[in-house]
Amino acid sequence: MIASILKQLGTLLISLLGLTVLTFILSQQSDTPIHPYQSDSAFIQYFEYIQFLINGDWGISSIHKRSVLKDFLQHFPATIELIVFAMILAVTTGLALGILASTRRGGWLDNTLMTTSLVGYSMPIFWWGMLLVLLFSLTLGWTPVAGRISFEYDIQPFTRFMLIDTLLHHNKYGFDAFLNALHHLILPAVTLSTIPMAIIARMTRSSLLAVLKSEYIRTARSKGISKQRIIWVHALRNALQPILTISGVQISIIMSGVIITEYIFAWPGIGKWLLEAVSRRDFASIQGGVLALSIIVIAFNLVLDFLSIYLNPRLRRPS
Amino acid sequence: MIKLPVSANNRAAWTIFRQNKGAMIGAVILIIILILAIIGPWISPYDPARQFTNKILIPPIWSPAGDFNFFLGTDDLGRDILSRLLHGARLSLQLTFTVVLIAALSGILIGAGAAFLNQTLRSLLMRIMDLLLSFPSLLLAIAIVAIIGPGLPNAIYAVVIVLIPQFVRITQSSISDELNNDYVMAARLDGASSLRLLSHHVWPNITPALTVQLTFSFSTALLDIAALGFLGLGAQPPMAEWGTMLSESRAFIQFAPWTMTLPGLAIFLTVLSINLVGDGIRDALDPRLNR
Repeated sequence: MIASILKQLGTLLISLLGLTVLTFILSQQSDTPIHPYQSDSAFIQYFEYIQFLINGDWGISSIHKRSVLKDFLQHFPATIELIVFAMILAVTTGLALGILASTRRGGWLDNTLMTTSLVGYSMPIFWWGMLLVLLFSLTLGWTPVAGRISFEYDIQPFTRFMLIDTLLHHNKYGFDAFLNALHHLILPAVTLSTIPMAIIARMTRSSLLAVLKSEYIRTARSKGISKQRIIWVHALRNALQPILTISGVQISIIMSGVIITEYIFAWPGIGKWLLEAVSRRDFASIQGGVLALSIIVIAFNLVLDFLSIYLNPRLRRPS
Repeated sequence: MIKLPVSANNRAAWTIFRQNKGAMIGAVILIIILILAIIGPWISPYDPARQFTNKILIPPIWSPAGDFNFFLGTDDLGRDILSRLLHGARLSLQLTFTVVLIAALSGILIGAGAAFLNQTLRSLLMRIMDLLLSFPSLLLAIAIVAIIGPGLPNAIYAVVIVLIPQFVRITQSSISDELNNDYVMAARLDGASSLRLLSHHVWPNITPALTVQLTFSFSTALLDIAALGFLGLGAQPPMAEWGTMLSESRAFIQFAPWTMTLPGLAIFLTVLSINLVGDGIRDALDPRLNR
């Protein structure tokens, strides 16, 4: 176990090294240096750059003239809100659909679900988002086109999580503001969750089918345990392992998707902020945004690795 | 495991592939799209950049307001959408082919080299590849475009760099797997050189895995190029690139939905058919993975 943890830490070090070299190169593209370096040598400047990062000085945005780290932290909750909501949607629906399909293998439901998930898998998210806007916002008028909340609500950003902030304004607007925020959140979240949902549904189905073939399930069945109990109690636990393993891929897909989703729905999060920085060549913000988003992905993968070491006894033993 | 001669394997694979309905449908759609992309410039009614200033935002002909001269309608500048889609097919597929070809060649070379490196160097290289793989591809592409600047050539470089690690990983791991087999050891004891081992013994056995990877990278490359075009970081207007066309249509979704639905449909159908074919090839080449 210690060996595999050390290996993980080694990977982490290489990751951080590669990442900071990339963002250092990014920060060097700026016309005016984003940090006051003492040395002229790029090699020593890199170490000074790391020192600045650790001290929390991520540079000043050339457009907004504000601290990049502060800017990032202000936009981040909007993105987190969208990602968490979309992830909940993707995992619950994806698991449910996958389980449903595996219990009725080969039936019309299974075939429909698998075809749909293949379609979902091939869907360009930027087109999907626009189709949803066209149908639900512009034609049916069910959901707002863009933004996080309607203009008539004056919400003080306490936590910057709109769903929480609107609840904190409960005595001013009742639940109206909260529902309005939720209403704004639905369509972007559906857009973002579609592809992960399709992948989770397919994975759940195939992994559950593989587990259901195994000997211990046959034993359980021969003991007369009900089909429901076999799936929920005996099979699902083991079937979830490979699904956990691909969650790392999911976070990459979500991170790429959230940039496009925010762009389509004018969602004031990190993705939109980063794209604006790229198009206006604000290298301090680009460097900070790439750095922060990557650290999140790396941290997520690290937690996931530890979790699977913890959950899988075979990985725990020293090889 | 019994290793069949490659040609027998291929014939068996084709039999399985042919029975896969989805894969065959995908193959047919893909072939049609390829043909359209190749003959596109000759059958497209107009020049894709030509602006009919008195024919702006004409809907496709199945709508009552349609015009027979413009089968799929026109966009906000009065350009014929059918012509733009046909030229776009050629452009998008050409770009995708180029990107995948460069990425595959460099990735396979690096991966094959890595398989013969010593333990420390190889594991260092593979860690770096894992790092690149764990990165959100679009974020990496955006970071690269941010360094070298927006525009089509730079977007192409970015997507190539994003795709390379996948080929390195799969080449290296399948070569390492094969090298542990007894038949390779037998050949090595017979005095075969590393290069001969690689080309005569290992290569035929890793081509299935590489073929599957190759197919799926076509859909990844197509999507990423279109996404960068859509975000304004890749191909720039007035280029008839599908992602760029989608991006230009954003302002007119409500009044002229066809300017958005049609280019998107083109991207979607191409990606879907590639994925269908990819699924079919994977199931055919590796029956053990068969569901």
